[in-house]
Amino acid sequence: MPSCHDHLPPVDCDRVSAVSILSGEHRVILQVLAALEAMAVRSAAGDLPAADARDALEVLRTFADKCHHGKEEDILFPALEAQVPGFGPTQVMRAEHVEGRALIRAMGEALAAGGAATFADAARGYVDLLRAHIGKEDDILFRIAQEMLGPEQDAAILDAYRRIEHDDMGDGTHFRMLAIADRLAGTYGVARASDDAQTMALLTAVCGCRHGANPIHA
Amino acid sequence: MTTTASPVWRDQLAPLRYLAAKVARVHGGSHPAMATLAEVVATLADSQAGDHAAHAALGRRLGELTGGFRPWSGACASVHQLFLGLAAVAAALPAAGAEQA
Ligand SMILES: [Fe+2]
Ligand SMILES: [Fe+2]
Repeated sequence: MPSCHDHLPPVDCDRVSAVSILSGEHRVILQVLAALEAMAVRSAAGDLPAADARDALEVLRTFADKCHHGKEEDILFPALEAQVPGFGPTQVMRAEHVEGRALIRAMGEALAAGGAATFADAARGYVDLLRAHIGKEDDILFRIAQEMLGPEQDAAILDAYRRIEHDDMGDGTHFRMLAIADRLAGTYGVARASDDAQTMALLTAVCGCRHGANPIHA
Repeated sequence: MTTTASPVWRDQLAPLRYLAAKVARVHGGSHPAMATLAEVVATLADSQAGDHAAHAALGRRLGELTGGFRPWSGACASVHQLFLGLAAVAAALPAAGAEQA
């Protein structure tokens, strides 16, 4: 889809940065969305795979919403908004996060009630919403952000990500979520994001010991 | 991909695949064995169920590459966490010929 931001270079995922880290996480979220889409197909046919759906919701709540959207809403977006007061794109992204939370709630309620058709509807809605949302971030917002952020700001943002990932959530939680996402990928025949070396590098780039603060240690 | 319930060690190892990759990336320059360790962890995590001899051999490699699961002096929390996790995996790995799954 051509846009007025096409002249901006795509996110440079060969370099660890405030936006490339989030783009790497997007690939894991897309992996879970593909598994969730397959669950929605089964649910629509009356066969709700409850245990897998619970696992997918745990990853979406913890990894996608708390950790990933937390990094965006609490760290990246404010840094952009500080440079351009009233910055519109982040407001749109925040609103879509809220929409996504409502759909996660709807999936959770349908799952608790055993409502296969309701779960399928909410899951499809969530998959469509998040895929479009990720597309907008990768193709537009992150390209703009990459241009806006200087090296010092980038380093400060990475440091703040580290606090969320390691101090707030703990390495154990972050990697446990990735492992659940991989189990779902295996069950539903979806490719693992981490099988791509560049994505694995981004997912493991920053160490709580702070030795990983700089662009990829090779 | 297995169709039966996976053994405990496999569930323990799945998140450690990422932690090992991180330790290799961040500390592999000063501790080259960590790059090999990440490869061994990934191979074991993705190994076929029932390959008892290979599992036992990879389990021994984990012990060798980590110096008996003892972090080097001054190692960071990630290294401690990785070695602790791998020690538990190695202990849960069946001896060759004795695996259930
Ligand atoms: Fe977002
Ligand atoms: Fe995002």
